[in-house]
Amino acid sequence: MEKKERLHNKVESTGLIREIVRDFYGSVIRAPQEGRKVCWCVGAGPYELFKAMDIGHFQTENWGVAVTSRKSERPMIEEAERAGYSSDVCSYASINIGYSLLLKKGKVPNDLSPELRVPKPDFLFCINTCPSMAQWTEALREIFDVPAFIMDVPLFYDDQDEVQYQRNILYAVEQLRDAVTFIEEMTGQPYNWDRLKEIHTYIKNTSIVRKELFELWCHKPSSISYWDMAIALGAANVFRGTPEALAFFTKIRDEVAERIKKGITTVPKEKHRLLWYMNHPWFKVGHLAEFFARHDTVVVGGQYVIGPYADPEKIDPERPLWTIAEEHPTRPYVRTMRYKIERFMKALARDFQVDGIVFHSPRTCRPNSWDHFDEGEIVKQELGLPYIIIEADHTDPQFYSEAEVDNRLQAFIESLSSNKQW
Amino acid sequence: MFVAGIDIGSLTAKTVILDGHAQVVGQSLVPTGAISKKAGETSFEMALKVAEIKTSDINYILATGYGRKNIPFANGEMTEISCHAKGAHNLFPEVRTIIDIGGQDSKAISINEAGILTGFMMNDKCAAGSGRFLEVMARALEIELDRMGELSLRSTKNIQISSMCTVFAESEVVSSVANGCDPSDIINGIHHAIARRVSIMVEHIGVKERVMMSGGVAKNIGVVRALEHELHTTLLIPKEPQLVGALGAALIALERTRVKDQSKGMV
Repeated sequence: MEKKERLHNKVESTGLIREIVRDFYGSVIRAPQEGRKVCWCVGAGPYELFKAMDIGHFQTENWGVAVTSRKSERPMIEEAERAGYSSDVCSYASINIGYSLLLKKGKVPNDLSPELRVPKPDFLFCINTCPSMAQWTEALREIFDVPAFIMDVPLFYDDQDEVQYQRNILYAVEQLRDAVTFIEEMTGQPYNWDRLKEIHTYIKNTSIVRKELFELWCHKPSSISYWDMAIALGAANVFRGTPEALAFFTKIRDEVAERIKKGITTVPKEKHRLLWYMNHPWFKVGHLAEFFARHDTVVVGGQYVIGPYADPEKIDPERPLWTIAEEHPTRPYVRTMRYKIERFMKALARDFQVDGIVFHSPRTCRPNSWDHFDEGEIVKQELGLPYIIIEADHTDPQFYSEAEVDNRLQAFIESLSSNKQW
Repeated sequence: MFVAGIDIGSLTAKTVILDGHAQVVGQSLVPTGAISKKAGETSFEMALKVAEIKTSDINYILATGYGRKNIPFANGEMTEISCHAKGAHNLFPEVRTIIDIGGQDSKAISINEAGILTGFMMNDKCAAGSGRFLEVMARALEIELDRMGELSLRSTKNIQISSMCTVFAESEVVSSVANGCDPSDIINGIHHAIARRVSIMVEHIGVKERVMMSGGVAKNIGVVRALEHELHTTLLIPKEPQLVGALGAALIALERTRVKDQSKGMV
C-alpha cells in the first residue's frame, strides 16, 4: 500500500540552508580564537544587535533544532534530567542546559557534529517572549557565571489600545538602549551604528523578496509547502541580515515562480489544503511532508514559519532600535488569543484557502499551547473550519508516537473527505 | 463477490467477510500477539474458513486499526475511526455518538444522520480507560477479566480510585485490598474511574443521542452501567462490539467495489 518514491516535491533551493547553517555556526565556533566575544541569545530576539558588533552569537532554540535534526539531542536531555530538570521542561531549554553542563565538564558527546560545538558564552541575552526564557537564562547564568541581559516583553496587551501599544514600544526602545550599553561594556568597543543600519538594509531587502514569496506561497494548487518554508525559516530568523540570506530567499522565490509557471506542484494530487498552527516536530519534517503528500493533502500555510520581519514597510534601517522595538515585542506568543485567532488563524485560513487546521500541542511547551482547544473551537464556530490537535514535541522525540500522530491526522483527513465518496 | 475488513487492534485482530449484499458470511477474532502481520493473516484465514470461500473469491480487502499498515495483502487502508463510524451506522442508523474503548486507547466519535464522520476525540497517550488498564486491575485483584462486570454490580459501597495512571492505580487497588475492601466495591470504583475519564472526552465532542459503545470493553457490563450513569443515557451495545471496526472496513470495501446494495449486518 505504501509507495516508496517520495511524493512531496520539495523546493530544491531550500537545501542551500545547509551551507548557511554551517557557515553561521562556523563563525560562532571560531569567535574565541579570533578574539571575538560569544553571546548566547535565548528567545527570538534582535540578533542584529550582536551581528553589528561582530559578536559570535546564536539563538539557543535554533541551535537546538540543528541538534535534534541530526538526532544528537538525547545525551543532552539526559544530562539535564540527571541534574534534576523535569522531562516536562521546554525541550529547547533542556537540550541547551544539558549541553552547557556537559561543556562545563568537558564531556561534550563525541557524536555531536563539530559544526554545532558552540563555545561557552561570554555573556547572555534573553528576550522574555515566553515564560520559560528568563528561567532558562538564569540556569545558564548559574552554570557559566557570566553576565546576562534580560529584555522584558509585556504579555497579552490589548492590541486595540493604541496608547498601550505605543507605551510598549517606548518600553522596548528604552531596554534596547540599555542593551546597546551592555554590549559596549561587554566588548569594550563603541557601538557600530553604521553596521547595524547596513544589516537592517539587508533585512528590509530580504523582507521585500519574502513578501513576494508569501504571495506565491498562497497559490492553489501549492508549489511550495509549509515544510519547505520551515526548512528556510532559519534564514529569516537568526541567519538574517546578510547578502547570503537575501540571495537564498531570492533563489527560492524564483524557483517557486518557475514551478508555478510550469505547473509543478508540491503533491501530485492536491485534494485538501491545511493550515498548521504553532511550531512542529522538527525531527519529523521529512516524515510529515511525505505523510500528507501520500494522503493527497498539502500543509500550505502557518504563522510559525512566516517568522520575523514579514512586513518590509515596518523596517526602517535609519531607525534600527525603533524597527526592532516594533518587531520583537509584538511577536505572536505575546499576543492575545483574539489577535492570534484573527491574524494567524482566520486571516491565514482565507489567504491560503484551507480546508482545516492542524494544531501542534508540544508536550514541553504548555505555556504556548494550552489554549488550542479554545482557539480551535472559536475558529470552527466563526469560520466553519474543522481542526485537529496533535500532541508531540518540537525537539524531544520521546514525546512523539508516529502511529498515534499518523492515526489522528489520517482520521482527520478522512473526515474532510467524508462528504465525498470514500 | 465477497469483500473483507480486517481490523488489527493492539490486543486483538478481527476480520469480517461480507457478500455482495452486505450480509456477514464470515468473521473471526484472534489475539494480535507480537506480530500484527501474522495475526492479520490468521484472522483472515479463519474468517475465510467460516465463510467457506477462498482468498481468490475476495474482491477487495480493507485494513484498519493500528496494525493496518502491516497487512501487505490488503487493497486499501483507513483509520478505525472512519470504520467504527461506518460499522455503527450500519448496525444502528439512529446512532450519533460512538464510544470505542479498545485494548490500548479510547475514542469518542460523532456521526451525522448519513453516518458521516463529523468529529472525534481520542485518548491515545496512556492506557488509562482502556482494556489494558482493566487487564492490569484484574490481575492485581486476582480475578478473571470476564467476571469483572458482573462482580462490580454486586457493589454496595463507593470506593474512589483517584489515580488514572495504570501503575499508580494498581498500587491504589493493592492498598484497598490490603485495607480489607470488598473486591466488588474496588472493581466498581475502577469502572467509575474509567467512565468519568471517558465521559469527559465524550462530553467534549457533545453527547448526541443515541450513543453506542464498541470495542472489547463494551462487553464489561460494569463499565457500561458506569458510563450510562455518567452520561445520563442508555447505551446501545452490539452483539459483537469488538467487530464493529472490521464490519465498517468491510462495508467501505464493498462501497469501493461499487456495490451499493446495503442490508443489515449482524446486530
